[in-house]
Amino acid sequence: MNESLDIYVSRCINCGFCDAVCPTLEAADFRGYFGARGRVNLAKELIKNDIGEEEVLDSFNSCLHCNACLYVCPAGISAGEISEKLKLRSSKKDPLAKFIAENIMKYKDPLNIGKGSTLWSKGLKFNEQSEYLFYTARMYQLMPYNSAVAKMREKLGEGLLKKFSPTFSKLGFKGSLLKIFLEREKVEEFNNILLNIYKVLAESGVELRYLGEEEPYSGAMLLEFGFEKEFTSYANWLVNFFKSKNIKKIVTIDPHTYTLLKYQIKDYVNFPFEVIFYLDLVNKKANFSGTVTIHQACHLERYGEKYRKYYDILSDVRIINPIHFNERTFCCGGPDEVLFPNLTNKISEKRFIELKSTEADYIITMCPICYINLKKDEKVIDISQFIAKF
Amino acid sequence: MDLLQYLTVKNIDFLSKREDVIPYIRDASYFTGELPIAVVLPKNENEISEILTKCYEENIKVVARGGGTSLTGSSISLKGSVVISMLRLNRILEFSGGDRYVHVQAGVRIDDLNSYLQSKGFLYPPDPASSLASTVGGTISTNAGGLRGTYYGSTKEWILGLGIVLADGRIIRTGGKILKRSAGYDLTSLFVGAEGTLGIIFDAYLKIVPRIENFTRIMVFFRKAEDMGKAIYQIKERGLNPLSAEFTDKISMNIISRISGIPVPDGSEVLLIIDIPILSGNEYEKFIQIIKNSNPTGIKSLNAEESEVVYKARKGLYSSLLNEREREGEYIIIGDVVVPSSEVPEALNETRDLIEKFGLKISLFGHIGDGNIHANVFTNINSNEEMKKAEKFLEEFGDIALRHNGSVSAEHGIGFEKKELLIREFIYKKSIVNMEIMKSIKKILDPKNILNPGKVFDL
Ligand SMILES: Cc1cc2nc3c(=O)[nH]c(=O)nc-3n(C[C@H](O)[C@H](O)[C@H](O)COP(=O)(O)OP(=O)(O)OC[C@H]3O[C@@H](n4cnc5c(N)ncnc54)[C@H](O)[C@@H]3O)c2cc1C
Ligand code: SF4
Ligand code: SF4
Repeated sequence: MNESLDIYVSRCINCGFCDAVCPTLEAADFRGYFGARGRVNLAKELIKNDIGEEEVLDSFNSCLHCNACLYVCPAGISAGEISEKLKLRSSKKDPLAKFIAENIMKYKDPLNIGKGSTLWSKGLKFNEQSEYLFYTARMYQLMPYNSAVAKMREKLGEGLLKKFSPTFSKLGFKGSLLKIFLEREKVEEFNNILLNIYKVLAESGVELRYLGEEEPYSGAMLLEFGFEKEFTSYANWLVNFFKSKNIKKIVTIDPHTYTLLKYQIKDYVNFPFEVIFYLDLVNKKANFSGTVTIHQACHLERYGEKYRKYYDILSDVRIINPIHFNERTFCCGGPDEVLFPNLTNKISEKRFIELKSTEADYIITMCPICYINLKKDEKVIDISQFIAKF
Repeated sequence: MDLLQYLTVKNIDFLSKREDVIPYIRDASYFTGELPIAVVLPKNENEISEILTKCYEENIKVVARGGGTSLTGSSISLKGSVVISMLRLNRILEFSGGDRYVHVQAGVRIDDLNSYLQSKGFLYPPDPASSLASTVGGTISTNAGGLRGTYYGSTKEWILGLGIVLADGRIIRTGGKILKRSAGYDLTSLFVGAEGTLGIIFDAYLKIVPRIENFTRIMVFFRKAEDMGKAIYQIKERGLNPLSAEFTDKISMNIISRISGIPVPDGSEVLLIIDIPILSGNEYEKFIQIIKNSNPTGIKSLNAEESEVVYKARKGLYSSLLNEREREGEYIIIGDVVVPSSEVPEALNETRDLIEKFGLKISLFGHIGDGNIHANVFTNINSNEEMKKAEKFLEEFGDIALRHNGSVSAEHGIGFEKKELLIREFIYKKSIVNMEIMKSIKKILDPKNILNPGKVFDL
């Protein structure tokens, strides 16, 4: 967005094309408040001070930032970007979001999972001298813990969860109730994916450096939840941290961290590192005689570039496209999991059915958030697992 | 029991908080509506019937809303009204390739319907440029046209039957699965183009056709709009039917050239994009022969990739024009007239003179195969003076169409915007009694004038 928010918003002609592709609208049973056009209309009112921040907070907070709306907007507007900007401007924050933000600032980790982030790397060889920093940003590791939060919300109900959030924050994940809801198998499943990513890179001859327990989270959720000041300070800290470790090239392994560090962070801080998505370093071609369908991540398709290196890796495999693919790919609903789990459930269900109805042998994902939300049967496989297997 | 209590008791989902109803006050026109008392989100016709029964009893205005893409203000909310959002009625109920129909709920979006039909090898032809968002109910209610209109006609040709809830809550059905019918008044037609003023459509039987996969898209450049108009007329006169025939003026031609990378030959002022169906084999040669004899400055036959890019660029022309806006508050108000093909050349000449006279920034494009010309007028909607000038232009633009035996509204309907123009058309045709008939019909079907009052005409 190069112009001021009010001018940007005023370019909207209210055609509703964005609503037609916005996953949250249908998931909210077509309540316009949760649709892209609704967000733009509410932004128009908010800018004029004709409505209070409190009333519109959920509308903007529930935006997935999937950018599907930007792709179809005749006026070139992203309701996602508007939501993000207004969240950043707003002084009202969701208590659970606050809890997560505090954790990030304090522990460099949204859920303070401690050693949980390094279990996957036990016994693996890393090279301190390698030019490539293997940067997990703890994303795959965090997924089972996120699910635990969602489970607890289900059990305690929204109100209690929000009430207890500050206590969790003090105790960290381990010391709090949250750990009761953690599923061991899930932890292993995600650790296994990390292992596979490591493996395919190793097989491609890439040596990696890993920071272990010192590795910090990227800060993405600070932006998603509208903590701009905190994100700016966190981003500065992150840059200095990487500098202090003499890092030059950062190999990201999930789309959210990739686009954050490659594009978004530059609005806040000078980020003098080369940012790579790990598939760029994979020189293997998958060899599989069956069929696959690909769930393309919104962040790889609609943020800054169309990242499609996986097509090279899968060039010998028969791909069956789902109804929504390439730049029209449909969000898995994941980004709403913490604050609007009902929306996430409906969106992921819809997307899963779309993928499943291709009748492909495998459903390939390439993002931990997509994976956890779409893993509704055995066909769903992370691209690293697929490459390692075939 | 007031309306909101009633809806609660009946377990009908509704929204009434300010932040919840704001998203429903606008459509794609430059009008802004007023806050409704509630927006209801019915799941079926019975709920719609219950809503209307109550609104009829209590004299509450009702505005039906599909995709909310109207360009004339026909779907904006009214003060104290209830908006019925049709989007939850989004199921495809039945498909029969053999009987050539599909039965769908009114809230199904046109692109969703066609992606379903594509998987079966069929097509529902009406294709307004808004097909991503516009709905079956909304497009029936405005008798929408589109790029394929020249070959297939507009929406009205494709409606076999309708399920409708009347103003007082009664549910009726017109027509049905059958492709022809001669049984009294054609009530189905009555609701086509009615803009939600006669009843709420909840489902529809739509005629479908097998897709024509084999066609060639060509771009033809002309120095004069007149030559292009003549070419189209001759093509049709010789019994040939383009699948679509779209024209653009220089501003829009340059946009398409920029997007597609296809250069504009020197001296070109007008672009024609034609889809030639290849049915028996030699259509292409016949088309090309006529075009070659019409003084083109260049002809370009497109390969599959170029064809796709050019189609997208044409369908997205309005979007591209929006991005040419330079001033704050600038909107594009669209004039939408139609004339018979034989009158296109002269109508275009007069329009060019009119644009010169008004000195406004205007781009012309349209579905020229069926004589439909859109004038896209760049206007600052915050300036009274500019708005008046634009309105005057559109009035005179409408007059050109009338002088050439055409109409002031080809496919966008009347809504709020064109009420005066509609009266003008009836007066010009010495048939103002049409207005009386329309009002009488309205009074029979909606005696309390609760359905979308003030749209199409004032009672
Ligand atoms: C970018 C853009 C391009 C466009 N291109 C074209 C084009 O090429 N051709 C064309 O014809 N139009 C075009 N339009 C105009 C518009 O899309 C059409 O008028 C379309 O038919 C409206 O459909 P909708 O579902 O959005 O209806 P809405 O805007 O929601 O409603 C339109 C009217 O129908 C009534 N209505 C809606 N649903 C029902 C129902 N179920 N029962 C009874 N009444 C109902 C409403 O009350 C209103 O009066 C375009 C619009 C835009 C924004
Ligand atoms: S698609 Fe763009 S112009 Fe249309 S309503 Fe959405 S933001 Fe506005
Ligand atoms: S970014 Fe995604 S969720 Fe947000 S408004 Fe756009 S389409 Fe909807």
